[in-house]
Amino acid sequence: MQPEKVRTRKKRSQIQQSIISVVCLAFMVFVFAWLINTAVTGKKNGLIPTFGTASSEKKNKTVSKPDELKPDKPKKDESSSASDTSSADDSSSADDTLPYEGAAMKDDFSDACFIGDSRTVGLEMNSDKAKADFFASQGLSIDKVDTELVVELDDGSLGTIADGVAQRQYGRIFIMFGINELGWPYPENFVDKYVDLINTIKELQPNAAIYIESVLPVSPEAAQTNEVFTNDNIDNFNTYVKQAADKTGTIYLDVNSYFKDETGALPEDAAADGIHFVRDYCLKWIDLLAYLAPQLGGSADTSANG
Amino acid sequence: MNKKRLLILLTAAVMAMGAFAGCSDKENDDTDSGDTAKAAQADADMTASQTAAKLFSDIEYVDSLGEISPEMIEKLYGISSDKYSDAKVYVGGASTAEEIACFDAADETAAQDIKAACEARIASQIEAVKDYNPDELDKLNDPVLVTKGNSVYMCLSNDNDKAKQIIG
Repeated sequence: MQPEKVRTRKKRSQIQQSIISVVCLAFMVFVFAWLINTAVTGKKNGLIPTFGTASSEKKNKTVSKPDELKPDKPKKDESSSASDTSSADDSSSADDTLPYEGAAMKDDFSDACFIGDSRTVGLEMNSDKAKADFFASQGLSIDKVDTELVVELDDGSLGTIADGVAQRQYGRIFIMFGINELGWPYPENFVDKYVDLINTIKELQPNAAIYIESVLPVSPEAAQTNEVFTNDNIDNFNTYVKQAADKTGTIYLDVNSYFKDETGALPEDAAADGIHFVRDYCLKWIDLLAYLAPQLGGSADTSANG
Repeated sequence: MNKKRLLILLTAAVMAMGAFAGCSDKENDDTDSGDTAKAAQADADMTASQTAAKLFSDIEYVDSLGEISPEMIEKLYGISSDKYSDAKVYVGGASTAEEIACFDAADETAAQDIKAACEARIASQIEAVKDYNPDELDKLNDPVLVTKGNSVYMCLSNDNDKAKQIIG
């Protein structure tokens, strides 16, 4: 009995030793691996400092150019009466495959003025055309252009769009309205008001080429702001924009179609809110205008108009 | 018995290594806090451009901001380049009032002019958005506009605490 007891105890002791050995070895392996990890990464948890990584990612996101816009067949409708004087004729005769990107590098738009709403405000801030005049205001709609004092005039006072335009003579005038009027029940009223504005500008600027830009597309996100912001509505509304151009013998620029992706919408990365172009797209927009409506020889007459 | 001793020794060695590792970790922590102090000192020495870049990268913005040229700084802010030795300005796409503008002014008078120009910019933005996008009034009515020596920092964002922390 006695030797059997000893044998059993010995056996149990051996098992215990084996278990302890395995546990110790496992623990050693763990500690060794952890030490190596700490030594290699230089930080506990083996994490690399996050500052810099996030910022560079964000910057890349911001700085990186969106995919090339395909200049699918520049649809540049022009009114018949304007076609003979339009500089856009020159561009229409140009090769359709000519990339418009970079066109604004050779065009400082010093002869130009831009009239419009918040989208044109965004263009002013992000197109790097410091020599151009921008008479634009957030929320401005066509029924208020002749009453709202949204332009800081040369004398420091505030004036209407027409007051601003009257300060000097321009070679090119780009006008875009429509996004704030999309919900109007009677778009014919928009046409009437737009025609009034264009005729006023024509009187003030008899020698300028006046370009009426189509309303730019929106991304699906825009509908979250207001359900009227859809590309179907915009496409429909642009027929009224074109009517205004036709009635006044000015040049209709279909900039809209250049900024649509394969789904017929503005790409998601083109606008933070689906409506207002981010900087990269403002630069594409100004490139497109330089391409479709290039500056004609000679600079603008900057003398005061009366 | 020998095996048992060996095991005890091994266990002791492992425990000792663990303890050393713990100490070394603490040392790392100390180094980290040292680094933080150094970073704070470095932040204090940052140029206006560097501060603007940090405000741009470390704060979450709704809009997509882009840097503008000195000519555009003059156009939007009325601040000519002879008023500062270093500057960086980021603007959005007009969907929000988010904006960053940092200047190392040429002298004290220029710093005052730049601060006044930033205040004028904020006032004009308030006018621009008050009817169109009143949600943006929150950040415009409580802007981060700080003058430190001859440097002027403006940051219009949804994270004033972070902006103030970066500016210092």
